Amino acid sequence: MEFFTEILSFFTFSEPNVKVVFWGSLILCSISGLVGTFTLLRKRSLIGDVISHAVLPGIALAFIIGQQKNPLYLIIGATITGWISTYLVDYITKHSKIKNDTAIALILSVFFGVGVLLLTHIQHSGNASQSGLDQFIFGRASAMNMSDVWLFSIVGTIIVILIVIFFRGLSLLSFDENYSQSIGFPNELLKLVLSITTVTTVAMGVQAVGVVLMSALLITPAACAKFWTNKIIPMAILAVVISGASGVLGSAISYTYNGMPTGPWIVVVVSLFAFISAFIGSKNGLLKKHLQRNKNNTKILRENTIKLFFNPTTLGETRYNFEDIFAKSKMQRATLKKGLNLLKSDKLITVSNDIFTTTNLGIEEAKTIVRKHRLWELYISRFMHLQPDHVHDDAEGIEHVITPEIERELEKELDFPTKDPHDSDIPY
Amino acid sequence: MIDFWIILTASLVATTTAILGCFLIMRKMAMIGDAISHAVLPGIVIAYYISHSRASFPILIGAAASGMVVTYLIQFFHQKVKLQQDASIGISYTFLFAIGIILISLFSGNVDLDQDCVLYGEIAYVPLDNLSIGGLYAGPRQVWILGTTLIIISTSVIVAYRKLVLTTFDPAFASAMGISVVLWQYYLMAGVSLTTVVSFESVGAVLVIAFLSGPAATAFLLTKDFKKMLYLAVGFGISASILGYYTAVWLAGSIAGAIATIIGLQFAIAFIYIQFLKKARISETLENKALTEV
Amino acid sequence: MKPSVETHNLTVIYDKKPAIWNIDFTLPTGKIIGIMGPNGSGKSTLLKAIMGIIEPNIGYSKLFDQDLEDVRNKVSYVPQRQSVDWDFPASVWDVVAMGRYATKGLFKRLSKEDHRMIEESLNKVNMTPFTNRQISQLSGGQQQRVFLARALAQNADLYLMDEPFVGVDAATEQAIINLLKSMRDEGKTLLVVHHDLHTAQDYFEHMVLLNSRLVAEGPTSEVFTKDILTETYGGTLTTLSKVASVLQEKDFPMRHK
Repeated sequence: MEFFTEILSFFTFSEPNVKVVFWGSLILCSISGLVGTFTLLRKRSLIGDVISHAVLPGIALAFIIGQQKNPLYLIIGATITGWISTYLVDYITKHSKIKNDTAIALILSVFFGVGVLLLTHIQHSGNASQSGLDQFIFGRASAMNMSDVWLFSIVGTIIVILIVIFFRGLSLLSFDENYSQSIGFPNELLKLVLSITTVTTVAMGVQAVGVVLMSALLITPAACAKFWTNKIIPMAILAVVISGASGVLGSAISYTYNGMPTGPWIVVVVSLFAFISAFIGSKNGLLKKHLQRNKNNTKILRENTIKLFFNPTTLGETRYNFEDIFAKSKMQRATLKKGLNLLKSDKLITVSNDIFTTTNLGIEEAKTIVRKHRLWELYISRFMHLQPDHVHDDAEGIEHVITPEIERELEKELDFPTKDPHDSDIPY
Repeated sequence: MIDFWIILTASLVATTTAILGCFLIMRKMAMIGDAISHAVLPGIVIAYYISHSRASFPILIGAAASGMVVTYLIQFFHQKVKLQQDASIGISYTFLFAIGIILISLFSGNVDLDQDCVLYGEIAYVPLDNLSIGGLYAGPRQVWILGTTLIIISTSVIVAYRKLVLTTFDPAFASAMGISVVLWQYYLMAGVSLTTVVSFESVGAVLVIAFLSGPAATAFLLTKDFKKMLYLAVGFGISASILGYYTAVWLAGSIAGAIATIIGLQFAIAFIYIQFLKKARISETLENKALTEV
Repeated sequence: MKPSVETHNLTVIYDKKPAIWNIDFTLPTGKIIGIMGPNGSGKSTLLKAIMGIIEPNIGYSKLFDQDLEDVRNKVSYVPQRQSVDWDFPASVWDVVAMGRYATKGLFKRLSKEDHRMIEESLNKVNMTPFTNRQISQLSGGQQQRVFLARALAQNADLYLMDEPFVGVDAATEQAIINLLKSMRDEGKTLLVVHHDLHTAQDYFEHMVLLNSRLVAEGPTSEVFTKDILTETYGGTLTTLSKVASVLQEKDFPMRHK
């Protein structure tokens, strides 16, 4: 309980610095959610990983040159080395037989190594104001001050404006690069805009999240959003909201526990959003898939049961007792009972004195499923040149898949046939 | 003597990783090494906390457990819920790494691990933790662990050399021959996991990737024979360890960071050399053409 | 005589499209058999499904009346040339030697017999002068010859070749077809994925015409007709595609018990 009251006290802004932390992480994380949407769609998520590691030497160099922790210098330094790293990855991939993933791994780790060497060099050389550099590795939102927040707001606004101006081009570039090229969009310019915004976002974001985990902030919010929508505008908005919320929550937790780095908490919060989305998301979510499968199984059971009531001679009403229908079916007793209950509740059959009788609705349903089965048999025997004895198994599965629309198409394509390949009538 | 032990430790790490790296980069799997090396952290921290020691066995178990968790997570995101592969990798390992860092902060005081060590290791302290056999000084513990790992990895690679090469070069052909591509993939991944875990203390999670990808990439630029590539990569790894150590001493900085820097320099020199050769070859053919045309 | 390849209801759904659907045929031995069809008609998928490289959703195949596992060393698969990374650091000899690995255990060194087979195979495709050449320095035609030499080194009875004529020069194409004919004369069966209609009639005695489904299969003289070709190359079956897409989208089982 104490934990929650502590967290709540963060949101009352009782301490003046809390406001800074709140706005700082909100701005940084929201922007990375926005930019990350494009990197994710361009399948360049791992490039974010390269940039975030590669800003470290830039930060160290800015510190050596500026001799103190000046946020503007640090962002400029970080942007420069971050940008060089993406350039090198592309250059190496293009001009040698080294593959993209190798170039990414190499540049990422070597730049980071150079950064570590420089940082440790500064620390050992006993520079007075060295403290505060460590925060860039895992992030410490509490170390931000008001002038940082102003800087983030200005740079952030520029990034947002750039993305809004180029929005249509960037969306097209992300969905289909070749098409964008073919209709004369300036792909190279768009790529440049995207790489500049990405690098700058990362260079700022490391203040809150740190270099090691910054890539998560580019990847995870956009991936969350992808579980809910395929359209780019809602996706970007959702990514921004999730990312901003994770940023605020994460830094609130780390602020409450003194000495906790911010980055890991933000990443854990945003990852939880990702897990939740993967379970209940409307696109590819597990729950949705599970429900769909249940629905399919019910549909199959229902259709297979009503098929047992098909009357091949009169195409009309049929009556069976349970044992008769059980003998006709190849189902388990319990499954069949479940199927019959389904039919009963859908008013396809009526029951009296243990006799099952089809209703008019049931007669039509039975005819429909038999018709689909036989149409499909005819279709595959005609267009796939299959022997009549090879078509039944296929049709047993596909009859449940055929929608009314596909059914009409089949009828038309087969010219409203009356006989199936086994010379049985197709009931209409 | 301290110099010697540190350089030996680094060289053992470099040799093991260089061998595996050659297979990894030819299989376009360099980033899987990145994912594994980050993701083993929570397991290592929990093992430290429970066993209250740096004993190797519990740590291996812990790391193996988190290695399995990350493999499962990547598969869950990629196959069960159809997220693209790069994002699946990215989400899974950053999540586990973040958990690891949080655990270190929570257990601080109880666990002899700090956040920096996780990233770039503490190779300088290797000679302080010594092993004695029957009361006799037997050298640093890490050297023994890494030496054993090197023997395990190189034997496994020699034993399975043909299958590994075949499944790397032409997986479709290998699988048509009845060789399980997936099985040998896991075999290699197991090797990478073992190596990253035991190298963790000395070079850390990020820099082990430099060891895995760098020397192999440099060797790949310079040779057209896979066996030579293996030897060259090992050579580059060891020479980077030696040069890196003295660079670190000179700059009073991190040893692992300096070795990674040298690995980068080696690659840069080889890359420029190859570009230069290419240009020379092109101008040579142009000249020949000009001569014949005259 | 035993049939060389037999498939039953072979079905592979890939990316919401029916790559191959319900393929059912029995092929003769000792012939050069062409697999023809438009782009994306599932030719490569068919070969891969037969070789067990991809698991079919439904159906199975038999080779020489036996399961694949029992006759693997009698069957050789030649993948598409573009499917591998030719920058891989290896020599021509290294690649051809892979053809001999199947019969070797983990440690056994290649015997004199193996070396002789490798040299002979290289000679048959006229690549002996390039034995020590690095594979990255070969032309497209030479790369294809190396793949063929590797297959020859396997000394199989049945060869499944995926597009061996793509991106090769005219001389190589002629050399390859001559080689295939001499292999056929030794009693081997060759199943070749091909897409050039102009040469098909000259190259193949027997054909499989494919467009996701099997359009026709039989001796070239019988199946290489205008009607059948129109049907093969006349576009996909839209209704079939729609069914496959519903099947995947709604995650329906193809067959239920």
